[in-house]
Amino acid sequence: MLTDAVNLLFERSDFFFELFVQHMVISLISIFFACVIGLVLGILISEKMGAAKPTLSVVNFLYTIPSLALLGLLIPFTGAGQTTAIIALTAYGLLPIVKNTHTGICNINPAIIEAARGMGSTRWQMLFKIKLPLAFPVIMSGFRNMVTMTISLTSIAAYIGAGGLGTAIFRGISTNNMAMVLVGSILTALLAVAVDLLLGVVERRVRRQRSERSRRHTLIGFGVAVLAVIALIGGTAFSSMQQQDTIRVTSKAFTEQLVMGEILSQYVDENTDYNIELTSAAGTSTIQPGLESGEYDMYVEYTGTGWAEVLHNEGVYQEDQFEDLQAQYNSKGITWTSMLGYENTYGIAVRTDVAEQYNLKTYSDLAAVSSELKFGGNPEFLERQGDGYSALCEEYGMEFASTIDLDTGLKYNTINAGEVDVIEIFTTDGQLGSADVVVLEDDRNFFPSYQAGVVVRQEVLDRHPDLNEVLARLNDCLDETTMAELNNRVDSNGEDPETVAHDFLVSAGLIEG
Amino acid sequence: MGTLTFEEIKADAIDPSIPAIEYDHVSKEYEKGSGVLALDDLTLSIQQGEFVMLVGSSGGGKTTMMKMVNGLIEPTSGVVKVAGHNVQDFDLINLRRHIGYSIQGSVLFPHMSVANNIAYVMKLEKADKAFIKERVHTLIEMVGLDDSYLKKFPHELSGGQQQRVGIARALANQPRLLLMDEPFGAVDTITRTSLQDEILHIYRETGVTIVFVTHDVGEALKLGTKLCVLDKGKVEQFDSPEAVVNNPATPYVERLMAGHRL
Repeated sequence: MLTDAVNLLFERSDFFFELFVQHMVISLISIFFACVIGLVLGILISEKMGAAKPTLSVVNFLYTIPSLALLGLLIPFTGAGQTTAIIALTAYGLLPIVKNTHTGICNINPAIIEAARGMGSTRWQMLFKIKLPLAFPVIMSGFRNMVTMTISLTSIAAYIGAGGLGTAIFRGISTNNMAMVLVGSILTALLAVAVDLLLGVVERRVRRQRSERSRRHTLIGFGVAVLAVIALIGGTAFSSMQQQDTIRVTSKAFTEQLVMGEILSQYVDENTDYNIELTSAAGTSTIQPGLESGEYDMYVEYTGTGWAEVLHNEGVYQEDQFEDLQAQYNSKGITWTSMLGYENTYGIAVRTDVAEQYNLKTYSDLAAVSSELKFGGNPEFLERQGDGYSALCEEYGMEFASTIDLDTGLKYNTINAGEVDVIEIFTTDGQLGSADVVVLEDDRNFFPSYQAGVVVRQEVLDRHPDLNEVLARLNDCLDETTMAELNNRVDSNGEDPETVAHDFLVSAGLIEG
Repeated sequence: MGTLTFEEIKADAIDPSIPAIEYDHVSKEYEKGSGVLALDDLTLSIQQGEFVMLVGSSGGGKTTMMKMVNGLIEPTSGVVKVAGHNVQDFDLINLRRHIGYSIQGSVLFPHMSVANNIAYVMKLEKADKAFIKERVHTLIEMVGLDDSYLKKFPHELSGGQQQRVGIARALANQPRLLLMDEPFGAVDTITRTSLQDEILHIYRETGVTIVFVTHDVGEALKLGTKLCVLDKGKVEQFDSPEAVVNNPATPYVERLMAGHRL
């Protein structure tokens, strides 16, 4: 496992380096804001005692909101992406800074404050010459705490497509690639430890320095260095983001989507002069707001998902409703440009021994014995209205003994291990062919149609009309069997989506080898 | 807070006909409406060049009386004047920089070297660097230490040495008035005696007016040119040490002086 991880790291060093840099940028900017806001708040509440309690309660409260929940809550307001990640991380970073600044200042011997006051210090002089220097060790320990915490928490930013090393962790989990998870985690941990050690050195130097002046110089020097790094990295990141001709492709975070993200971005990259930026986000619910606000330009979506989850329509979607679907999307400024030719619909599979034991063939057969079986599905399916788990149970009168939330990449391992008996599958799942499961028949046509297609922001098409033609060539380029094979190469053979996508595009004659 | 600066009234501060400090019917009630007075209708003048010892039991109002001089405490009623001007008319930051202030315990700034502690007020006043260096050298010798201490930090000094640096720091800006709140309260008897000798020496050499809070009657009699005995916020007696010992004005003063001689 460890050798796999090391090999992976060297093979894809560019990929990890980019994630590493993104991780640093997001962390450093968040740390910077948390510090500035935290220090100001901490100082204010130490001067105005009455404000201390309510302020500390608020930052304490922010700190206790689960990170995924905070990101989810922010998406409607600030969209998916780095801004939201930075806001959330800043909110978390406030507590240690505010609290330690307040504690550090309040714990100074009052006689020292009295002496400074009696000698004619102004409020500012008192703050900068006496209070802050004396509170420095306490503030510093809060700061170091916050820095390590922020760096590891930045991994979560990948959940909303902000990038960083969490991208490797999320992708690794959803493509069943443990080496990838390991590299992402280890790099995150190393970054946190390295930064903490560096801060330890700075802190010791500051404490050891005898004169106030050289102490100040060390601190200022360090601050300038950090700001320079932020400005440099942030500047490059920003300027590349600002480039008008950049097309931002995204995908959801499961194997097929990661492959499709690669296919889409490599294809457009090779066939146009635009710069391509590829990200991945948790799912439709995080991508759609980003698409509407202009953070993402295109991704691959499935008709049935768009019908129910984006447009919130009632009823089971069938392909004869496509025109209606397209019209409703157009009113949101989004267009379905090309249909890829394969369907990835949901299915229900049971472990072979269970199927034989109860002689299960159809969903209706399953419903009769469902109370004795355990069901595993991905969180999106379990929660979704319309064609999700609860609607399925209602339609067939199923009532499972229990349900477990499973990541898409883990469900075959889990059912093979006997921890669940029934799983929800995608018809293009790569592991489906090799897994010891039987796919049942949807005898009442419960599941809607889920044709895969490319969804693009209309504004992008208007600005780059040549894209219409380029994307049109993707029509019917895939079928279910091919898609399942591509998925299997990632899930079972551990190949990375980038290579798999490249091979496909070459063999389909869509790009040159 | 007013805008009067010490520079503007410098002539008054050295005019021997104007008292250094005056209290005119000064009262202080910390909790409004409680009826408990820390100072009760205090009226008293301290002439320039006096070494006034404030004595009496704790809670008698000694520290309150002293902190009114540099505006750390405001009177509830009455007026406190420094060099003939109401303290409340001064720019208090400016006033405080011209009044030396030394308080009990180790209250040197722990994050600053001895030199920086002594130079604190001069740096606030943005004095010239060469001047500060020269002045710090003079001061450290004035309090019986030498230049080898300047680079040390407070925690590297003994209690007595810390008090000496504290005195040097209070004298840094060449004040005409020095306020000392039990400065030797936390050191052993031998060190205390030598510190007392040192402050007497400085007093004689500089002619500064000193207001000194203590609860040690022996110390008061040894140092003061005048004693101000306070009890429950009222002045029991304000007179020379001889007069206080020989002719105690009230039973409280008599009890306090019992067994003490000059």
